[in-house]
Parts: sequence; structure tokens; C-alpha cells
Amino acid sequence: MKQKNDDPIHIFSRWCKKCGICIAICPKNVLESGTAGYPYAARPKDCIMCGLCDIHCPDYAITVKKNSDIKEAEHEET
Amino acid sequence: MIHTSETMYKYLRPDKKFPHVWCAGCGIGIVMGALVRAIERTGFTKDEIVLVSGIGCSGRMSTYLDFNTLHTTHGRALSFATGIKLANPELNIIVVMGDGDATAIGGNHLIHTCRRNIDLTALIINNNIYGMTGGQYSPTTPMECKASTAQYGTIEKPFDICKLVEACGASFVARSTTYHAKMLDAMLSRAIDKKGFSVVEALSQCPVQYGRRNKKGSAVDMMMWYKDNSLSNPAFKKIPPGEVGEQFPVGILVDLDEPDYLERYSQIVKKAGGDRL
Repeated sequence: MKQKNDDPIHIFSRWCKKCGICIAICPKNVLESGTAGYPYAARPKDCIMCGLCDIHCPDYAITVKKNSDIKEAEHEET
Repeated sequence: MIHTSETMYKYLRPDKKFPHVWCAGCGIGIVMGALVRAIERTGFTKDEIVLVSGIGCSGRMSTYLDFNTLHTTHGRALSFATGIKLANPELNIIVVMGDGDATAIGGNHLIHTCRRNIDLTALIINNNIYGMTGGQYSPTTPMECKASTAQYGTIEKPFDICKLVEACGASFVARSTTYHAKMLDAMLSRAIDKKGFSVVEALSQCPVQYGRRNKKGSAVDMMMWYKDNSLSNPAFKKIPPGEVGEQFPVGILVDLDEPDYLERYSQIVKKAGGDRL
């Protein structure tokens, strides 16, 4: 699923098993189940970057990161 | 903040197929994430860690993680780990076992390793059932819960793993759940640093073999059950003994400073006039 630019939540749907733990554990109700059952960030602006979805994902399929961090990391690699 | 998913990519074996074999919603993945965060926090390199595992769902963990790993016979993981520790005391050994592996097939190994108090870290993943072999009841299946070998409910009293290892003499005993994943990695890093035999019991949901048979709901419902029924150890002690229902204490339950097996062994070596461990 395509992510918006300001979206801090990155979901790797190839590893996701649609268990729904990330959706239930989010304290700000950011995530929702999409059409195929995969979670997506419905309200990314509400995200407080607590990382609870990240540490509770049994399949390591979700990462919460600021986009600026990723850009910096990519810049360092290249 | 340590990102689990990012840290995992460093520690997973690149030649293994992902997603892993565990069912959707299984808590073992969360426990594996906590273990990796704990190791990352303690700062040991991959070569300084040995991961020993037994058989069962939890035994797959040694296949996925890129440390020195040993996938051993059913219930005998602690015996293999004792051998490794005596051969090379420099190594940090983490033994991953399931509830059936640790308390049924390997029950004797567990109690005697506790008694010996050798410097190992045991992570016992308790999902209340034998998941991989088809949902037979294990020594930790609660009373009156259904399993494939107990169609009308078990009539045997379950083990309390933490009480068992405490009575047998383990130096460090802690319990956490998959809901308390952050606490779990704190407990694990304490246990890895601790000298002497340390046991961490991680309660983990099995939504397929245990949850579905006993109408416990989805993986999320089972995690919320952990949230609702867990208490800190001081709060748990305040409950009068007759009124404890399904509640259980989480956190550090035992933390003792006692000489471990290798310390005692080196004293014996000195006594006998030797100069090596």
C-alpha cells in the first residue's frame, strides 16, 4: 500500500499476517484494517511515535519513523 | 528508542524464508523481538551469544536468529547449555524453551539446573499448550481447559513455572507477557546480565491451538486478558490468598546474590591443587 509523504508508519505487507495486534494496541487509534485486511495508517497525523505497534508486531512488518530520519539515512548510504 | 523491525533485520538470518512459520497473532514473534532488543541493549556481539533451543514452536527461534545457535533434542536444551558453559565460560548462553519442553519433557533438567545455579539464562515461553504437535495439553494448561487430548477439559492442576523454579533455587526469576513487551525486554536484559541461573517466563498467546478450543477469542483478546489480569508483585501480595482468581504477578519475582556453579567449581579446583578451571 502506498504511503503518504508525511506518514511516519511504514508497513511491510509481504511479512504481515493480518493479526490485527497493531490496530488494537495503538493508543491514538491511528491504524485501521484496509480492504484486503492489511493495516494502513488512516489518521497518520494523530501518530505520537510511541512505537507500540512496532514492538508488538509478531512479524516485524511495521516501523514507525520520521521521514526526515529515513532521508538522512538514505543520504548517508549514497 | 530501539526500533524492533529495524533491529530485527540485523539479527535475522538472511537465508531463511520470511514471514516466519508461527501462526498469525502468535506471541512467539513478539518474544523474539524482545529478546533481540535485550541483546542489543546488553551490547554483546553476535559471536558472544549462544542461543540453545529445544523442540516445539519456540524451538524455531534458533533457526531464525543469527547467533551461535544449537537446536537440540526435546527437553534437553538445558543439558546441552550446561555443557557449553563448562567448556567455555566466556560465552553468554540463552536457552529458549516452551512450556512443555521446559516443564514436562525437560522437567528434571529444569529443576536440577536451578539447584545447580549455573550461569545460564532460560527463557520459557508459556503458551499453555503443545502448539506444534496438535494441541495436546501441557503441564501449564489451566484446569478445565480443553485440548486435543482433553476433550472435556483437563483435570490436572497446572504448574506455576515461576514458583517452581523459585523453590528449586534459581537466582533470578521474572515473568512478563506479550502485552508487556517493553517490560519483557527489560527483564531479559537483566537476566542476561545476572550471574547465576536466571529464568524469565514469557506468557504468550496461542490463538490457534489454545485460544480457539477454549473460546478465548482472537490474539488481541488474549493479549488484553494479560493486561486485565496481571498485577505488579507488591499489588499481588496484598490480595488475600483465598481471593486470588485468575490474576498473576508480573515483573521481577526473585533476585538473589548467590555464588554460581562455576565459582564453586573453581574453588574446588583450587582445593584440589589445580590451576585451571
